[in-house]
Amino acid sequence: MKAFREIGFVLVLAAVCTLVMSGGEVMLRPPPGVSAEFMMRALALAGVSVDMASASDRLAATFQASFAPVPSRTDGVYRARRRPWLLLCEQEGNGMWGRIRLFVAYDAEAGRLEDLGVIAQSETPGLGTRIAEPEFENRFDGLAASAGLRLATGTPRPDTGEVQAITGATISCAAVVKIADEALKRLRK
Amino acid sequence: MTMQTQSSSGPGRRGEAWEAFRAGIGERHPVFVAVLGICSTLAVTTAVRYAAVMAAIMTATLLVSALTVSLLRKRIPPAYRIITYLLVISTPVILLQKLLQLWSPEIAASLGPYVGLVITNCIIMGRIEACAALRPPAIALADAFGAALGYGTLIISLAAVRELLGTGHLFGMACLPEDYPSCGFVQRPAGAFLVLALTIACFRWLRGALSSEKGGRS
Repeated sequence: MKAFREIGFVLVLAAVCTLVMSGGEVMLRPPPGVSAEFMMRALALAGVSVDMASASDRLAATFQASFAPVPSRTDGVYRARRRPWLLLCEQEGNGMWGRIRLFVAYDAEAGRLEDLGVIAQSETPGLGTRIAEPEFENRFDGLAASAGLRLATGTPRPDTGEVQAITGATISCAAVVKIADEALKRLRK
Repeated sequence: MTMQTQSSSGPGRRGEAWEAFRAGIGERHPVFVAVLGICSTLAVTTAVRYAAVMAAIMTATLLVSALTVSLLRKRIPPAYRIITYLLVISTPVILLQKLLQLWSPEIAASLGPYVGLVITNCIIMGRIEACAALRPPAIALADAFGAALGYGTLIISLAAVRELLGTGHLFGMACLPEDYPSCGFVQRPAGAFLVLALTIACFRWLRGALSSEKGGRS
């Protein structure tokens, strides 16, 4: 009986701590908006050179000169002013250990993914963190995205939106694919 | 460590709390005497502002954990005490980490994994096991505050020396002449070890000199 009481105490404490941590996670989530990393990625894609140490207001002004929010949309989807078929958004979702934030650019005319970048992640060092390496990010460039994305089970076929996972980081890669797929749903609306 | 008998009277408890606080910055200093928390001490002392943020996080975590464990001390099962301490410590650490990421993503990125690693910091586990799990909240809080103050003042002083010698700046402002040849070695891990070792040696020499002086007088 005493053992049950002791285990019960630990379980109740664990539940309370989990509730507090989850509440904190929700309450302390960064407000929606355009991050500096997103703007830097977008400007690099548009071929606009900006100094990494640019003041945030200067960076925002340069971004606004090159990209405009899509009219009638309030969910953070942007369109390139010079290439109106190029749509961009920032998408966040759950990774293996924490949140993953992606930069996603979609060519609405060709129905292909133009660019994908990992802005923030907290995956396993040496394994999951490899999702932020250009070698993995480049696997998404030019993928046919009209039918959504998925992880390849064999040899990837780019025309079907299949992406090859990194060995040892399958869960993190699957998370990136899922988040990118959600971003594409937003962009295709 | 021998436990002192718990006094129930107000002034007695105040005296005990004062002793517990004083020990944390003196004869039971977590870094100088017990040589605990070295990993974070070396890693976050490249600049004063990083060290100050780390000191604030350690202080808040120590106080909240010590208070919680002290309040629950009669209910915590001895067989599951370590997992209970980890639960109690990890809750404020996770919240503070999220708060830091929101308040200053740049400092959060610079501190890297060391904010999360506060959960396994020996100073916190040590003070909880040695004091908070056995003593009433007032004494546990005084003990935690003493240990946090001892740790905080040390890492901020260490960071001041490393930042000044390594970059010629303090709080990001130039403090030494422009032609000062920056000593990059001090900013590297080996330099951190050397500065910490010299600081500990100075502290112990000073403590020895003071106690021998007291002994001579008496």
